[in-house]
Amino acid sequence: MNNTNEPVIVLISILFSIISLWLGIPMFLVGMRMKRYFYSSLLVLVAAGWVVSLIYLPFTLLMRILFASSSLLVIELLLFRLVLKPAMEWGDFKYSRAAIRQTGLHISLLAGSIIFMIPFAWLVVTSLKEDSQMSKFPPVWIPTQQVEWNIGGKKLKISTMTYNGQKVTVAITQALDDGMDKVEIVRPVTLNKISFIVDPSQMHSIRHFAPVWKNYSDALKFLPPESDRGLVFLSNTLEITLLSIIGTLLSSSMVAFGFARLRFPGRDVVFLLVLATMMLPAAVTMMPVFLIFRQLGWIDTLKPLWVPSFFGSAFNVFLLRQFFLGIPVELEDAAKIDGCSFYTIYWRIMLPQLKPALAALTIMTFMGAWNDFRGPLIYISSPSHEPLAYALQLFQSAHGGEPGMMMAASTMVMLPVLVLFFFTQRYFIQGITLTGIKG
Amino acid sequence: MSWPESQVIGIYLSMSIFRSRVFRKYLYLLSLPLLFFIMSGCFSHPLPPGKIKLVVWGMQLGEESEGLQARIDAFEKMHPNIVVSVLSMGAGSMDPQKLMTAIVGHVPPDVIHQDRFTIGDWASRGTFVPLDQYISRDKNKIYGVKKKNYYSACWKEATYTNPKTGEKHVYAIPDGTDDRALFYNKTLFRKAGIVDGKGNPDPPKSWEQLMKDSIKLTKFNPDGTYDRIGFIPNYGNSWLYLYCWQNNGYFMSPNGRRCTMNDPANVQALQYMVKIYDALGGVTRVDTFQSGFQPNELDPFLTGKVAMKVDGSWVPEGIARYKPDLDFGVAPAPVPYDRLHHIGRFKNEKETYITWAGGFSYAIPIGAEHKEAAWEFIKWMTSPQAALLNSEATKQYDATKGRMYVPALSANREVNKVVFAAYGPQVPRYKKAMNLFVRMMDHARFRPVTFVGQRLWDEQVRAMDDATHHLKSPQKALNDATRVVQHELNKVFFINRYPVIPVAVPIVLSSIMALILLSMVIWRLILVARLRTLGRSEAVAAYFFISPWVLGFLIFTIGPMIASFYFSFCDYDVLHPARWVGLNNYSELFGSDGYYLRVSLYNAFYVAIIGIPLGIVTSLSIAMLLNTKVKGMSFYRTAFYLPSIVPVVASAVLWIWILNGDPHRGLLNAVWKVTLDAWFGWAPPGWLGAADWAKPAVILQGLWGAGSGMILWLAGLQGVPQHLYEAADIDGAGQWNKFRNVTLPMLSPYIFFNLIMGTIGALQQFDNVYVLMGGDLSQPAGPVDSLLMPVLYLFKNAFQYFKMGYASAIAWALFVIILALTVIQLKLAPRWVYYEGQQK
Repeated sequence: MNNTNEPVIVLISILFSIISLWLGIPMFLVGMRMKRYFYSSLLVLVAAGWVVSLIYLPFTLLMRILFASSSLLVIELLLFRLVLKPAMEWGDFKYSRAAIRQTGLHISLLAGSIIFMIPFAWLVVTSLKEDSQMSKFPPVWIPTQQVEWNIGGKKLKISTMTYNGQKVTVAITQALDDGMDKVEIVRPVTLNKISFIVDPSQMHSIRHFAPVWKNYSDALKFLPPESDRGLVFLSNTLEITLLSIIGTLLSSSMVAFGFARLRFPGRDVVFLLVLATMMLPAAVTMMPVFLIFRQLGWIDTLKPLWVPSFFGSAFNVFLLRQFFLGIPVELEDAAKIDGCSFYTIYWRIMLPQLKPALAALTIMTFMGAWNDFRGPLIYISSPSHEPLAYALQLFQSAHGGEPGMMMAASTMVMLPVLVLFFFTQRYFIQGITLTGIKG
Repeated sequence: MSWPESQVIGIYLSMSIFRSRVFRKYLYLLSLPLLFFIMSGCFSHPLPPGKIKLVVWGMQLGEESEGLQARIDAFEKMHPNIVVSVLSMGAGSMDPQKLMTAIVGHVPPDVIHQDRFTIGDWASRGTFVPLDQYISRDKNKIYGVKKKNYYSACWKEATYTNPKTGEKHVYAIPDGTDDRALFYNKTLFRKAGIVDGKGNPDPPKSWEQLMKDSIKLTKFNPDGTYDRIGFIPNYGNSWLYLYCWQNNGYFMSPNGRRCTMNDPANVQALQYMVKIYDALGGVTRVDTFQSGFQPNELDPFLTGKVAMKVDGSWVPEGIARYKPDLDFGVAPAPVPYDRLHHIGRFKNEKETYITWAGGFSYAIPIGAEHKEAAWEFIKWMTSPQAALLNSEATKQYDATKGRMYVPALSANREVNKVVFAAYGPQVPRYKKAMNLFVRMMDHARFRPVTFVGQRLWDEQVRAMDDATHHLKSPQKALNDATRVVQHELNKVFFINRYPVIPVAVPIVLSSIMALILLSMVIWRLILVARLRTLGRSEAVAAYFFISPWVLGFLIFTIGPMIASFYFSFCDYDVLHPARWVGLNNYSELFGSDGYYLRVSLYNAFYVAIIGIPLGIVTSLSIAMLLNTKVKGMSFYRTAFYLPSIVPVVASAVLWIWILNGDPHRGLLNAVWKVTLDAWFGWAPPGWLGAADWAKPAVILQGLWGAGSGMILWLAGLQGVPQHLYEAADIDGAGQWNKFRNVTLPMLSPYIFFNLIMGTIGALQQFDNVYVLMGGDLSQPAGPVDSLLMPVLYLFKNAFQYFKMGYASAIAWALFVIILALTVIQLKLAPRWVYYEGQQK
């Protein structure tokens, strides 16, 4: 039964079965922990029934999965409601309940985060694998290389094989044109130096853990020569990033200050306009903006990529305005009494209060500028002006068939963002969390 | 103006910011980039005085380009005042979008190495310099270009006749060329018993024989999948073109005014392709088999997975590199039975076998800075002397790698003569193959030179896809394709009917708009004047503070919106004056091109309707898990959040591999194979390679980045007042009730925000789809257009064809749709969105 034509239903039923299993395991643990063995064994029975119904129910496979997983979900919830929950209120299970909750949460969180991290792990592992290990089934998770021994001044690859019914270790001395290998026995010593030709499929190569760093140097080597091993891309990206950060911080904080702390006629209407632009599809303005930059002679320069950040963007203005609103008015009033102008208040009083938000904005702008792809795609046409993210896309078009090199290149582009995130995630997440979106 | 100035400004600005107390603590955040930024001055190489820099696009220096390097070195020696700068932009296939942008933006290269079949298209837009003057001037000089030396197919392909004025010019000088023939694996032929009287493998000569042999050579695995296929019609390089030409079908009328793609001969050719696919078991099965194909040493022809293919003259070089001892043969591509025997329609046909020649050529873009130097460069690069240098250097390089050197074909007979005499392969089967390819060049057809060349190509691919997938009959597929191309042709022929209008109108309009806004501000200021002193200075300061946004709003939002609305009624390609075409763009968008709009909207809504709820559920459940008190929270938070900060290109590159259809290469299908396949026998899907699964694949990739939404949920969850939960506890509410009656209502503004922004985002998806489909706009977006998104379609029209007017119409249609959706959501919101402190 090859019913794979309804991707949506397949995905939903997979999701259903994952959720039902995901719920079932902590529930089983809760039962064990509370010594409600009856409950736990019932759960096991249900799970067994699930498997049996999966295999034997007289529907199509898809329906079977859908039916089995949804009924499992329902039974699990019923069991919990009818059996476990009344039991929980009988005695003093407070401590154990908390502990079980913790265990359950940890299991769920761990499972979830593993699923989210697997692609990363795959990326890094693939970037360190030998070509021959790329298309193996099951997938290879540990990068290995064939062991090489120094024999007679030459580094030779080592394999084991059966020779006249005896297990021997051989060194490959020469790879022949017809795909066969010429080998020489090295162990046991009694058969030493016996040489013969053998089909590689009869040998079992001895491998040891060894990441292949060559993918990284290859990736750099295959970059266009005019990019100076990618340094030109890096410097372009840094230029865009730095100028965008400066522009965003300056303009957004100014505009946000104006909206949050100053009263002027028409403020609310204009602020509504600011919010409305957030919903405007960028596609509508894309072409005329291109024509504006063309008129200015800025095509194939980095300017179109950072100049707009000096004019404030709706989201950033909104984010900083929320922060400004949270700063006590007394501070401002005291400054006014001391005779400070609004410009001084902004620069000397308000900005210092805004540190965490500006830090968050810096990181967000950094990531936005570092990852920007559409801008360079439209405006940049020569390699000497390409930033990293766009260069990576061109690299993918040219070397898409070589996973090792591609993954190495992706890792290199991604790394600075990840490192920055690790060191600043506190500000970053705080920055967004504190703001909220209520307005 | 280059970056040293901006560097100075940047340093000045950053220094003034550094002086403020705020940043001192966060200095380390900025200091690193700044350091690199200042250092980056070291990477630029100034040009020595008195020299000119000749910029060449479309070729690549670097690894394995010894031949090119040798030719350039020799050229620079001959012309000491010229420094050649080869930029690897789109080596192999120049990205038309980049070239057009450069020409439109007044920064074109001096020489472009360009796929020859696109020359007509480019020339028609007035983007290349006609070369006739140069050719006749230097005819008898050294390295002069002589028409008679070139194969007529190649020369004609570089010549464009303006169908409106009849002007005929040469716009490019042909360089390398290629033609096509049938490759067959002799070992497999012997095994299958397809041999002639002497026991030698007998390649098919007619279409009918080809199909019979293909079925004979196809082998199945026990599970019903292919182990080997004899012949796949569109594997290798034949497309619909070759089959049509073999059947004496043509794509354009001789005067270039009519598209004849639905000619009965072409329909017959497409029917033949469909017939082979059906005989093999259907195109879907063949596609699945093909999705596992790999390049280089694992090429399916080299590993015997494919027994025959029609492919180009570049293939023997690859065989020599990756499997030199393969026992292969090359024969002319099989032709219809009647043609082979010169009967019926083909009674008076002189050529039995024909081939298709394509290849590259050199051209000079309009506005190039150094045209004379560019011409010198082209003359040298197409000369036999340069070709010999190239062969010598490449041969030496190949020898160091232990490879056999197989020269590539040139469009110049003289070059082929000297190169193959001196450097041709000596191994008999290679020699025979290359000789056949050289010989066949005299019987070459070429794609019609027309300004709709790219459209023609796109449409033949689409027609082939639709017909082989049985979505349309061959006749209908070709009728539809013809209509699309003909429409395009008509538009160009009738453009003079429409009045030229000034481009400045939108500028005037937006200035008026700005004036209105300004007068509103002045009126406000008059109001301000009535305020008390403190309030007045406050208002003036406020206007100063918000001025960056107001300026940006006028320049980057309102002005462009007026302009794009205006352009949506024009035909405007930037290089020519705009013409007022009224509602034509819209009628085309909803009428003749309605297919693209429908498909792209369907795709976008599919992703939105399935993807947004899935994304909300995923990120909300993660946020709820993270909103508990568990140790190691920062680790979990990082783990879930990390994917959403990965650059979109890197993420797409990664997922292309994870979603690879072949379980040996794609991680997801490896898991699928040991679980769903092993347990229930569901074959792993083709994901990005399969029409039904491409969109779920995109959704899956999107779910991986659900962490960005999670942060907002977290903020929302933390904003839910604890006392509400306590009250619920007192009322005896369970977990579910608390979630249903407290958490959800309190989160409803966030759900609302997510829905609105998610819809806007999903309808505008572009970046990830662009990378996932390989970044090649000239190919259909995903199988059967399954990944064509509205903005992708818009981008293609705006920046590949530079149809600014049409693209603006798409943008406005999209804008109206998004606006309508947002308004509907806003209207529905009061029914379910709960705002704290607001009376219901």
